[in-house]
Amino acid sequence: MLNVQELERKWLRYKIRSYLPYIIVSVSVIALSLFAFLYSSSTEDITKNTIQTQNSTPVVKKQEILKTAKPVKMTVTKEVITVDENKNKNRVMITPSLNFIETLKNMPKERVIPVKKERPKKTLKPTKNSSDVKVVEHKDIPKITYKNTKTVSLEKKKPVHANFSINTKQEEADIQDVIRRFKNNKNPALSLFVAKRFYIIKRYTEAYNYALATNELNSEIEESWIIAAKSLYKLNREQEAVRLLNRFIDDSQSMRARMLLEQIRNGSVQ
Amino acid sequence: MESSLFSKPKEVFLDIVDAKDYIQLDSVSTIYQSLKNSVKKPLKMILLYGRPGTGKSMLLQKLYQDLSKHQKVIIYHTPLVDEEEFLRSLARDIYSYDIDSEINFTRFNELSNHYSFDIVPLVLLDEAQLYSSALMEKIRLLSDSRKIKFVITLHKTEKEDIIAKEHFQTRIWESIELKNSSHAELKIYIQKKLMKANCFDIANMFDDKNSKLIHSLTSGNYRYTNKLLFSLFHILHWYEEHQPSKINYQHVSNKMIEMAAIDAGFIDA
Repeated sequence: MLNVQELERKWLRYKIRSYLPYIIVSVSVIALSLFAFLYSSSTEDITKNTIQTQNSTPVVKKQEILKTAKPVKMTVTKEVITVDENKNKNRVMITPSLNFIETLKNMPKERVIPVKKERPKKTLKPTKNSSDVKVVEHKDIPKITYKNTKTVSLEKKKPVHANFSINTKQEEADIQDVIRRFKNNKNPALSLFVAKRFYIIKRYTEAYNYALATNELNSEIEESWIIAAKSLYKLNREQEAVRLLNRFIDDSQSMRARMLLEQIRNGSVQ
Repeated sequence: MESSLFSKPKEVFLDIVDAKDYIQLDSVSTIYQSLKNSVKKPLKMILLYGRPGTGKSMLLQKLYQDLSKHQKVIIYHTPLVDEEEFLRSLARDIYSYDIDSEINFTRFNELSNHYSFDIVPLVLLDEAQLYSSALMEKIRLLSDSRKIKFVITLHKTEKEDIIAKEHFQTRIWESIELKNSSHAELKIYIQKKLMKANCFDIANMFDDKNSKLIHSLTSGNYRYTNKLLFSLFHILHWYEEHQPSKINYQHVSNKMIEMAAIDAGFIDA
Protein backbone atom coordinates (compact mmCIF):
# COMPACT_ATOMS: atom_id res chain seq x y z
CA MET A 1 0.00 0.00 0.00
CA LEU A 2 1.48 3.27 -1.10
CA ASN A 3 1.70 5.89 1.66
CA VAL A 4 2.55 9.06 -0.26
CA GLN A 5 2.44 11.35 2.79
CA GLU A 6 5.02 9.22 4.54
CA LEU A 7 7.01 9.08 1.34
CA GLU A 8 6.98 12.90 1.09
CA ARG A 9 8.17 13.20 4.67
CA LYS A 10 10.95 10.74 3.95
CA TRP A 11 11.86 12.66 0.81
CA LEU A 12 12.03 15.95 2.75
CA ARG A 13 14.23 14.30 5.34
CA TYR A 14 16.44 12.92 2.58
CA LYS A 15 16.77 16.31 0.88
CA ILE A 16 17.70 18.03 4.12
CA ARG A 17 20.22 15.29 4.83
CA SER A 18 21.67 15.47 1.33
CA TYR A 19 22.06 19.26 1.55
CA LEU A 20 23.40 19.13 5.09
CA PRO A 21 27.08 18.63 4.13
CA TYR A 22 26.89 21.60 1.75
CA ILE A 23 25.16 23.71 4.41
CA ILE A 24 27.77 22.70 6.99
CA VAL A 25 30.63 23.43 4.60
CA SER A 26 29.11 26.78 3.57
CA VAL A 27 28.43 27.81 7.16
CA SER A 28 31.94 26.71 8.16
CA VAL A 29 33.49 28.70 5.32
CA ILE A 30 31.42 31.77 6.19
CA ALA A 31 32.23 31.39 9.87
CA LEU A 32 35.92 30.97 9.14
CA SER A 33 35.92 33.96 6.79
CA LEU A 34 34.10 36.03 9.40
CA PHE A 35 36.50 34.91 12.09
CA ALA A 36 39.49 35.66 9.87
CA PHE A 37 38.07 39.08 9.04
CA LEU A 38 37.35 39.89 12.67
CA TYR A 39 40.74 38.60 13.73
CA SER A 40 42.55 40.65 11.11
CA SER A 41 40.54 43.77 11.95
CA SER A 42 41.14 43.29 15.68
CA THR A 43 44.87 42.81 14.99
CA GLU A 44 44.84 46.06 13.04
CA ASP A 45 43.05 47.79 15.93
CA ILE A 46 45.59 46.44 18.38
CA THR A 47 48.42 47.64 16.16
CA LYS A 48 46.81 51.04 15.79
CA ASN A 49 46.19 51.27 19.52
CA THR A 50 49.77 50.27 20.19
CA ILE A 51 51.02 52.90 17.81
CA GLN A 52 48.69 55.46 19.32
CA THR A 53 49.77 54.49 22.80
CA GLN A 54 53.39 54.70 21.78
CA ASN A 55 52.77 58.09 20.23
CA SER A 56 50.64 59.41 23.00
CA THR A 57 52.74 58.23 25.92
CA PRO A 58 55.53 60.77 25.51
CA VAL A 59 53.00 63.56 25.23
CA VAL A 60 51.45 62.56 28.50
CA LYS A 61 54.85 62.37 30.02
CA LYS A 62 55.70 65.81 28.72
CA GLN A 63 52.50 67.20 30.09
CA GLU A 64 53.20 65.56 33.41
CA ILE A 65 56.69 66.98 33.39
CA LEU A 66 55.34 70.41 32.60
CA LYS A 67 52.86 70.18 35.41
CA THR A 68 55.04 68.63 38.07
CA ALA A 69 58.70 69.24 37.37
CA LYS A 70 58.99 72.96 37.18
CA PRO A 71 62.65 73.25 38.12
CA VAL A 72 63.74 70.98 35.27
CA LYS A 73 65.57 72.84 32.58
CA MET A 74 63.52 71.51 29.73
CA THR A 75 60.27 72.51 31.30
CA VAL A 76 61.68 75.85 32.16
CA THR A 77 62.53 76.35 28.54
CA LYS A 78 59.05 75.33 27.57
CA GLU A 79 57.52 77.62 30.07
CA VAL A 80 59.72 80.46 28.96
CA ILE A 81 58.52 79.99 25.44
CA THR A 82 54.91 80.06 26.45
CA VAL A 83 55.45 83.06 28.68
CA ASP A 84 57.16 84.78 25.81
CA GLU A 85 54.22 84.14 23.58
CA ASN A 86 51.89 85.56 26.13
CA LYS A 87 54.16 88.47 26.76
CA ASN A 88 54.55 89.17 23.10
CA LYS A 89 50.82 89.54 22.82
CA ASN A 90 50.91 92.53 25.12
CA ARG A 91 54.51 93.56 24.48
CA VAL A 92 55.30 96.54 22.35
CA MET A 93 57.04 95.51 19.17
CA ILE A 94 58.35 97.42 16.25
CA THR A 95 55.73 97.51 13.57
CA PRO A 96 57.06 96.37 10.23
CA SER A 97 56.48 99.11 7.78
CA LEU A 98 58.63 98.17 4.85
CA ASN A 99 57.42 94.61 4.14
CA PHE A 100 60.93 93.65 4.80
CA ILE A 101 60.25 90.46 6.66
CA GLU A 102 58.25 88.98 3.83
CA THR A 103 60.92 89.98 1.35
CA LEU A 104 63.52 88.41 3.59
CA LYS A 105 61.57 85.18 3.89
CA ASN A 106 60.85 84.90 0.20
CA MET A 107 64.25 85.90 -0.91
CA PRO A 108 65.87 83.01 -2.78
CA LYS A 109 69.03 81.74 -1.26
CA GLU A 110 70.76 81.69 -4.63
CA ARG A 111 70.71 85.44 -4.63
CA VAL A 112 73.06 85.51 -1.74
CA ILE A 113 76.43 86.45 -2.97
CA PRO A 114 78.96 83.80 -2.09
CA VAL A 115 81.40 85.18 0.37
CA LYS A 116 84.97 84.19 0.70
CA LYS A 117 85.68 82.89 4.10
CA GLU A 118 89.13 84.35 4.17
CA ARG A 119 89.07 87.83 5.39
CA PRO A 120 91.58 90.08 3.81
CA LYS A 121 94.28 91.02 6.23
CA LYS A 122 94.63 94.44 4.81
CA THR A 123 95.11 96.19 8.04
CA LEU A 124 97.12 99.27 7.85
CA LYS A 125 100.05 99.32 10.17
CA PRO A 126 101.39 102.62 11.30
CA THR A 127 104.61 103.26 9.54
CA LYS A 128 107.48 104.89 11.31
CA ASN A 129 107.37 108.31 9.85
CA SER A 130 104.09 108.14 8.26
CA SER A 131 101.46 110.65 8.99
CA ASP A 132 98.79 108.20 7.88
CA VAL A 133 96.67 106.86 10.60
CA LYS A 134 95.49 103.36 10.80
CA VAL A 135 91.90 102.93 11.83
CA VAL A 136 91.48 101.20 15.12
CA GLU A 137 90.62 97.64 14.40
CA HIS A 138 87.36 96.52 15.95
CA LYS A 139 85.62 93.27 15.64
CA ASP A 140 82.24 94.67 14.69
CA ILE A 141 83.32 97.80 13.01
CA PRO A 142 84.25 97.89 9.39
CA LYS A 143 87.76 98.63 8.49
CA ILE A 144 87.97 102.24 7.59
CA THR A 145 91.04 103.87 6.31
CA TYR A 146 91.60 107.52 7.02
CA LYS A 147 93.81 109.47 4.83
CA ASN A 148 95.62 112.65 5.46
CA THR A 149 94.77 112.74 9.10
CA LYS A 150 97.24 113.31 11.79
CA THR A 151 95.46 112.20 14.89
CA VAL A 152 95.76 108.65 16.03
CA SER A 153 92.80 108.37 18.31
CA LEU A 154 89.54 107.87 16.54
CA GLU A 155 87.35 108.26 19.55
CA LYS A 156 88.61 111.67 20.30
CA LYS A 157 88.28 113.03 16.84
CA LYS A 158 85.28 112.89 14.58
CA PRO A 159 85.93 111.25 11.31
CA VAL A 160 85.62 113.66 8.46
CA HIS A 161 83.33 112.20 5.90
CA ALA A 162 85.07 113.73 3.04
CA ASN A 163 88.38 112.40 4.12
CA PHE A 164 87.76 108.71 4.46
CA SER A 165 86.83 105.98 2.04
CA ILE A 166 85.20 102.72 2.86
CA ASN A 167 86.19 99.49 1.46
CA THR A 168 82.62 99.03 0.23
CA LYS A 169 83.18 95.87 -1.64
CA GLN A 170 84.61 94.03 1.30
CA GLU A 171 82.04 95.58 3.61
CA GLU A 172 79.23 94.39 1.39
CA ALA A 173 80.70 90.91 1.21
CA ASP A 174 81.00 90.73 4.97
CA ILE A 175 77.43 91.87 5.50
CA GLN A 176 76.12 89.42 2.90
CA ASP A 177 78.00 86.64 4.60
CA VAL A 178 76.36 87.47 7.91
CA ILE A 179 72.97 87.84 6.23
CA ARG A 180 73.42 84.39 4.72
CA ARG A 181 74.26 82.95 8.10
CA PHE A 182 71.30 84.76 9.64
CA LYS A 183 68.96 83.26 7.08
CA ASN A 184 70.22 79.84 7.95
CA ASN A 185 69.97 80.00 11.72
CA LYS A 186 67.76 83.05 12.48
CA ASN A 187 70.07 84.18 15.19
CA PRO A 188 68.99 87.65 16.41
CA ALA A 189 72.59 88.50 17.24
CA LEU A 190 73.46 88.24 13.54
CA SER A 191 70.54 90.36 12.41
CA LEU A 192 71.45 92.95 15.02
CA PHE A 193 75.01 92.91 13.76
CA VAL A 194 73.77 93.46 10.20
CA ALA A 195 71.47 96.27 11.37
CA LYS A 196 74.38 97.96 13.10
CA ARG A 197 76.61 97.62 10.05
CA PHE A 198 73.98 99.02 7.74
CA TYR A 199 73.46 101.92 10.15
CA ILE A 200 77.18 102.61 10.17
CA ILE A 201 77.40 102.67 6.42
CA LYS A 202 74.29 104.88 6.38
CA ARG A 203 71.98 102.41 4.75
CA TYR A 204 69.27 103.29 7.21
CA THR A 205 66.45 101.50 5.50
CA GLU A 206 68.26 98.17 5.71
CA ALA A 207 69.43 99.05 9.21
CA TYR A 208 65.80 99.62 10.29
CA ASN A 209 64.68 96.43 8.61
CA TYR A 210 67.29 94.24 10.27
CA ALA A 211 66.58 95.92 13.61
CA LEU A 212 62.98 95.00 12.93
CA ALA A 213 63.97 91.40 12.15
CA THR A 214 65.97 91.26 15.39
CA ASN A 215 63.05 92.68 17.31
CA GLU A 216 60.77 90.14 15.79
CA LEU A 217 62.98 87.33 17.00
CA ASN A 218 63.61 88.84 20.42
CA SER A 219 61.87 92.07 21.36
CA GLU A 220 63.83 92.40 24.57
CA ILE A 221 67.07 93.30 22.85
CA GLU A 222 67.46 96.98 23.68
CA GLU A 223 69.92 97.58 20.87
CA SER A 224 67.38 96.60 18.19
CA TRP A 225 65.00 99.31 19.49
CA ILE A 226 67.79 101.89 19.53
CA ILE A 227 69.01 101.08 15.98
CA ALA A 228 65.43 101.04 14.68
CA ALA A 229 64.66 104.42 16.26
CA LYS A 230 67.90 105.97 15.09
CA SER A 231 67.35 104.61 11.57
CA LEU A 232 63.83 106.06 11.49
CA TYR A 233 65.20 109.34 12.63
CA LYS A 234 67.82 109.28 9.89
CA LEU A 235 65.09 108.45 7.39
CA ASN A 236 63.32 111.64 8.44
CA ARG A 237 60.63 109.72 10.23
CA GLU A 238 61.24 111.45 13.53
CA GLN A 239 57.71 111.13 14.85
CA GLU A 240 57.73 107.40 14.29
CA ALA A 241 61.06 107.13 16.03
CA VAL A 242 59.72 109.08 19.02
CA ARG A 243 56.59 106.93 19.23
CA LEU A 244 58.73 103.81 19.00
CA LEU A 245 61.01 104.94 21.83
CA ASN A 246 58.10 106.05 24.01
CA ARG A 247 56.49 102.67 23.67
CA PHE A 248 59.73 100.92 24.48
CA ILE A 249 60.41 103.19 27.46
CA ASP A 250 56.90 102.54 28.78
CA ASP A 251 57.51 98.87 28.58
CA SER A 252 61.14 98.56 29.65
CA GLN A 253 62.16 101.82 31.35
CA SER A 254 65.35 101.73 29.31
CA MET A 255 67.80 104.50 30.14
CA ARG A 256 69.46 104.31 26.74
CA ALA A 257 66.09 104.76 25.07
CA ARG A 258 65.39 107.78 27.24
CA MET A 259 68.74 109.30 26.33
CA LEU A 260 68.15 108.69 22.61
CA LEU A 261 64.70 110.22 22.88
CA GLU A 262 66.26 113.27 24.45
CA GLN A 263 68.88 113.41 21.68
CA ILE A 264 66.16 113.17 19.02
CA ARG A 265 64.26 116.00 20.62
CA ASN A 266 67.45 118.05 20.80
CA GLY A 267 68.43 117.04 17.30
CA SER A 268 71.74 115.74 18.47
CA VAL A 269 71.47 112.19 17.28
CA GLN A 270 74.70 110.84 15.91
CA MET B 1 -8.02 2.92 -13.05
CA GLU B 2 -7.90 2.26 -16.74
CA SER B 3 -8.42 5.92 -17.52
CA SER B 4 -5.27 6.92 -15.63
CA LEU B 5 -2.43 8.29 -17.73
CA PHE B 6 0.19 6.46 -15.69
CA SER B 7 -1.35 3.02 -15.26
CA LYS B 8 -0.17 1.73 -18.63
CA PRO B 9 3.43 2.99 -18.28
CA LYS B 10 3.50 1.34 -14.88
CA GLU B 11 2.74 -2.05 -16.48
CA VAL B 12 5.43 -1.46 -19.11
CA PHE B 13 8.07 -1.54 -16.41
CA LEU B 14 6.94 -4.68 -14.71
CA ASP B 15 10.03 -6.87 -14.34
CA ILE B 16 9.07 -9.63 -16.73
CA VAL B 17 11.47 -11.30 -19.14
CA ASP B 18 9.63 -11.24 -22.40
CA ALA B 19 11.31 -11.14 -25.77
CA LYS B 20 8.59 -8.79 -26.94
CA ASP B 21 9.91 -6.20 -24.48
CA TYR B 22 13.39 -6.41 -25.91
CA ILE B 23 14.68 -2.88 -26.59
CA GLN B 24 17.10 -2.40 -29.40
CA LEU B 25 19.98 -0.33 -28.05
CA ASP B 26 23.31 0.20 -29.75
CA SER B 27 25.43 -1.75 -27.31
CA VAL B 28 22.84 -4.49 -26.73
CA SER B 29 22.29 -4.84 -30.45
CA THR B 30 26.02 -5.32 -31.05
CA ILE B 31 26.23 -7.94 -28.34
CA TYR B 32 23.21 -9.75 -29.63
CA GLN B 33 24.59 -9.84 -33.12
CA SER B 34 27.86 -11.13 -31.74
CA LEU B 35 26.01 -13.83 -29.83
CA LYS B 36 24.09 -14.90 -32.90
CA ASN B 37 27.30 -15.15 -34.89
CA SER B 38 28.91 -17.21 -32.13
CA VAL B 39 26.03 -19.65 -32.14
CA LYS B 40 26.56 -20.28 -35.85
CA LYS B 41 30.21 -21.12 -35.27
CA PRO B 42 31.22 -24.69 -34.39
CA LEU B 43 31.77 -23.72 -30.75
CA LYS B 44 31.11 -26.14 -27.94
CA MET B 45 30.05 -23.60 -25.33
CA ILE B 46 29.27 -19.90 -25.16
CA LEU B 47 29.35 -17.96 -21.92
CA LEU B 48 27.23 -14.88 -21.47
CA TYR B 49 28.10 -13.11 -18.25
CA GLY B 50 27.46 -9.87 -16.50
CA ARG B 51 26.10 -8.31 -13.33
CA PRO B 52 22.48 -9.01 -12.40
CA GLY B 53 20.05 -6.89 -14.38
CA THR B 54 22.30 -6.27 -17.34
CA GLY B 55 19.91 -8.11 -19.67
CA LYS B 56 21.39 -11.59 -19.90
CA SER B 57 18.06 -13.33 -19.50
CA MET B 58 16.43 -11.01 -21.98
CA LEU B 59 19.16 -11.71 -24.54
CA LEU B 60 18.82 -15.41 -23.97
CA GLN B 61 15.08 -15.12 -24.40
CA LYS B 62 15.48 -13.05 -27.52
CA LEU B 63 17.95 -15.61 -28.92
CA TYR B 64 15.55 -18.40 -28.18
CA GLN B 65 12.71 -16.58 -29.91
CA ASP B 66 14.78 -15.79 -32.98
CA LEU B 67 16.55 -19.16 -33.41
CA SER B 68 13.77 -21.53 -32.45
CA LYS B 69 12.16 -20.99 -35.85
CA HIS B 70 15.19 -22.45 -37.62
CA GLN B 71 16.70 -24.99 -35.23
CA LYS B 72 16.15 -26.99 -32.13
CA VAL B 73 16.57 -24.59 -29.22
CA ILE B 74 15.81 -25.42 -25.61
CA ILE B 75 15.83 -22.76 -22.90
CA TYR B 76 15.90 -23.39 -19.16
CA HIS B 77 15.22 -20.24 -17.19
CA THR B 78 15.17 -22.10 -13.93
CA PRO B 79 18.17 -24.27 -13.19
CA LEU B 80 17.59 -27.99 -12.97
CA VAL B 81 19.90 -28.76 -10.14
CA ASP B 82 19.22 -32.48 -10.02
CA GLU B 83 21.34 -34.32 -12.55
CA GLU B 84 18.78 -37.02 -13.39
CA GLU B 85 16.01 -34.46 -13.82
CA PHE B 86 18.31 -32.36 -16.00
CA LEU B 87 19.18 -35.31 -18.23
CA ARG B 88 15.57 -36.45 -18.37
CA SER B 89 14.48 -32.91 -19.37
CA LEU B 90 17.14 -32.78 -22.09
CA ALA B 91 16.07 -36.18 -23.47
CA ARG B 92 12.45 -35.11 -23.54
CA ASP B 93 13.00 -31.59 -24.97
CA ILE B 94 15.73 -32.40 -27.51
CA TYR B 95 14.89 -35.93 -28.56
CA SER B 96 11.24 -36.00 -27.50
CA TYR B 97 12.07 -39.15 -25.59
CA ASP B 98 10.24 -39.75 -22.34
CA ILE B 99 12.14 -42.03 -20.02
CA ASP B 100 10.14 -43.48 -17.21
CA SER B 101 13.02 -45.50 -15.90
CA GLU B 102 16.18 -44.26 -14.32
CA ILE B 103 18.54 -42.26 -16.53
CA ASN B 104 22.19 -41.46 -16.03
CA PHE B 105 24.87 -39.71 -18.00
CA THR B 106 25.96 -42.93 -19.85
CA ARG B 107 22.38 -43.73 -20.80
CA PHE B 108 21.85 -40.20 -22.07
CA ASN B 109 25.02 -40.40 -24.22
CA GLU B 110 23.78 -43.66 -25.74
CA LEU B 111 20.47 -41.97 -26.46
CA SER B 112 22.06 -38.93 -28.09
CA ASN B 113 24.08 -41.22 -30.40
CA HIS B 114 20.81 -42.46 -31.92
CA TYR B 115 19.77 -38.97 -33.01
CA SER B 116 21.36 -36.59 -35.47
CA PHE B 117 20.38 -33.03 -36.50
CA ASP B 118 21.39 -30.79 -39.39
CA ILE B 119 22.03 -28.07 -36.93
CA VAL B 120 23.28 -29.06 -33.55
CA PRO B 121 20.56 -28.51 -30.93
CA LEU B 122 21.12 -25.43 -28.81
CA VAL B 123 20.49 -25.47 -25.07
CA LEU B 124 20.25 -22.12 -23.31
CA LEU B 125 20.93 -22.31 -19.59
CA ASP B 126 20.10 -19.21 -17.55
CA GLU B 127 21.50 -18.72 -14.06
CA ALA B 128 24.15 -21.39 -14.64
CA GLN B 129 25.96 -20.36 -11.46
CA LEU B 130 23.29 -22.30 -9.58
CA TYR B 131 24.26 -25.61 -11.16
CA SER B 132 26.42 -27.92 -9.10
CA SER B 133 30.02 -28.48 -10.03
CA ALA B 134 29.32 -32.15 -10.84
CA LEU B 135 26.49 -31.25 -13.16
CA MET B 136 28.56 -28.52 -14.77
CA GLU B 137 31.21 -31.17 -15.46
CA LYS B 138 28.58 -33.34 -17.15
CA ILE B 139 27.43 -30.33 -19.20
CA ARG B 140 31.05 -29.83 -20.28
CA LEU B 141 31.34 -33.44 -21.36
CA LEU B 142 28.09 -33.19 -23.27
CA SER B 143 29.30 -30.09 -25.11
CA ASP B 144 32.63 -31.84 -25.83
CA SER B 145 30.71 -34.63 -27.60
CA ARG B 146 29.37 -31.89 -30.00
CA LYS B 147 25.94 -33.46 -29.85
CA ILE B 148 24.53 -30.43 -27.99
CA LYS B 149 25.65 -26.82 -28.00
CA PHE B 150 25.29 -24.85 -24.78
CA VAL B 151 24.88 -21.14 -24.17
CA ILE B 152 25.05 -20.43 -20.48
CA THR B 153 24.65 -17.19 -18.54
CA LEU B 154 26.55 -16.41 -15.37
CA HIS B 155 26.38 -13.65 -12.83
CA LYS B 156 29.65 -11.86 -12.81
CA THR B 157 30.62 -11.97 -9.18
CA GLU B 158 33.89 -12.88 -7.59
CA LYS B 159 32.62 -16.30 -6.58
CA GLU B 160 31.05 -16.99 -9.96
CA ASP B 161 34.23 -15.91 -11.68
CA ILE B 162 36.00 -18.70 -9.81
CA ILE B 163 33.37 -21.17 -11.00
CA ALA B 164 33.82 -19.95 -14.54
CA LYS B 165 37.54 -20.28 -14.17
CA GLU B 166 37.39 -23.80 -12.83
CA HIS B 167 34.79 -25.28 -15.13
CA PHE B 168 34.71 -23.28 -18.30
CA GLN B 169 37.96 -21.47 -18.83
CA THR B 170 39.52 -24.11 -21.05
CA ARG B 171 36.28 -25.29 -22.60
CA ILE B 172 34.49 -22.11 -23.47
CA TRP B 173 35.25 -20.97 -26.92
CA GLU B 174 33.52 -17.65 -26.64
CA SER B 175 32.53 -15.41 -23.77
CA ILE B 176 30.47 -12.24 -24.01
CA GLU B 177 30.16 -9.72 -21.24
CA LEU B 178 27.09 -7.58 -20.71
CA LYS B 179 27.43 -4.25 -18.97
CA ASN B 180 25.16 -1.65 -17.44
CA SER B 181 23.91 1.08 -19.74
CA SER B 182 25.14 4.64 -19.99
CA HIS B 183 22.73 7.42 -19.04
CA ALA B 184 22.16 8.24 -22.72
CA GLU B 185 21.32 4.60 -23.42
CA LEU B 186 19.11 4.50 -20.37
CA LYS B 187 17.11 7.49 -21.62
CA ILE B 188 16.63 5.74 -24.97
CA TYR B 189 15.71 2.54 -23.17
CA ILE B 190 13.02 4.31 -21.11
CA GLN B 191 11.63 6.27 -24.02
CA LYS B 192 11.68 3.31 -26.43
CA LYS B 193 10.01 1.10 -23.88
CA LEU B 194 7.26 3.69 -23.35
CA MET B 195 6.83 4.39 -27.03
CA LYS B 196 6.60 0.68 -27.74
CA ALA B 197 3.56 0.72 -25.47
CA ASN B 198 2.23 3.84 -27.28
CA CYS B 199 2.90 6.08 -24.26
CA PHE B 200 4.36 8.90 -26.35
CA ASP B 201 3.37 11.76 -24.06
CA ILE B 202 4.89 10.03 -21.07
CA ALA B 203 8.07 9.26 -23.03
CA ASN B 204 8.43 12.95 -23.83
CA MET B 205 8.22 13.83 -20.16
CA PHE B 206 11.70 12.42 -19.57
CA ASP B 207 14.59 14.77 -20.18
CA ASP B 208 18.34 14.45 -19.74
CA LYS B 209 18.22 15.53 -16.10
CA ASN B 210 15.71 12.80 -15.33
CA SER B 211 17.71 10.14 -17.12
CA LYS B 212 20.91 11.26 -15.36
CA LEU B 213 19.19 11.05 -11.99
CA ILE B 214 17.73 7.65 -12.78
CA HIS B 215 21.12 6.49 -14.01
CA SER B 216 22.79 7.69 -10.82
CA LEU B 217 20.21 5.85 -8.74
CA THR B 218 20.24 2.59 -10.69
CA SER B 219 23.81 2.64 -12.04
CA GLY B 220 22.33 1.96 -15.45
CA ASN B 221 21.03 -1.42 -14.41
CA TYR B 222 17.97 -2.35 -16.48
CA ARG B 223 16.31 -4.38 -13.75
CA TYR B 224 16.73 -1.56 -11.21
CA THR B 225 15.51 0.95 -13.75
CA ASN B 226 12.40 -1.09 -14.36
CA LYS B 227 11.79 -1.31 -10.65
CA LEU B 228 12.33 2.43 -10.14
CA LEU B 229 10.09 3.44 -13.02
CA PHE B 230 7.39 1.07 -11.94
CA SER B 231 7.45 2.76 -8.56
CA LEU B 232 7.56 6.20 -10.18
CA PHE B 233 4.47 5.58 -12.26
CA HIS B 234 2.79 4.06 -9.27
CA ILE B 235 3.35 7.30 -7.33
CA LEU B 236 2.34 9.47 -10.30
CA HIS B 237 -0.77 7.39 -10.65
CA TRP B 238 -1.59 8.08 -7.00
CA TYR B 239 -1.07 11.83 -7.45
CA GLU B 240 -3.19 11.82 -10.56
CA GLU B 241 -6.00 10.33 -8.58
CA HIS B 242 -5.62 12.36 -5.39
CA GLN B 243 -3.62 15.54 -6.06
CA PRO B 244 -3.38 16.05 -9.82
CA SER B 245 -2.33 19.70 -9.32
CA LYS B 246 1.01 18.45 -8.02
CA ILE B 247 1.84 16.71 -11.29
CA ASN B 248 3.85 18.51 -13.93
CA TYR B 249 2.74 17.00 -17.21
CA GLN B 250 5.54 18.70 -19.13
CA HIS B 251 8.31 16.75 -17.50
CA VAL B 252 8.86 14.35 -14.66
CA SER B 253 10.01 16.15 -11.54
CA ASN B 254 13.13 14.85 -9.84
CA LYS B 255 11.23 14.94 -6.58
CA MET B 256 8.94 12.21 -7.89
CA ILE B 257 11.90 10.14 -9.07
CA GLU B 258 13.57 10.50 -5.67
CA MET B 259 10.36 9.56 -3.93
CA ALA B 260 10.15 6.50 -6.17
CA ALA B 261 13.77 5.69 -5.32
CA ILE B 262 12.91 5.88 -1.62
CA ASP B 263 9.89 3.68 -2.17
CA ALA B 264 11.87 1.15 -4.21
CA GLY B 265 14.68 1.11 -1.68
CA PHE B 266 17.35 2.80 -3.81
CA ILE B 267 17.54 5.68 -1.34
CA ASP B 268 17.75 5.02 2.35
CA ALA B 269 15.78 7.91 3.83
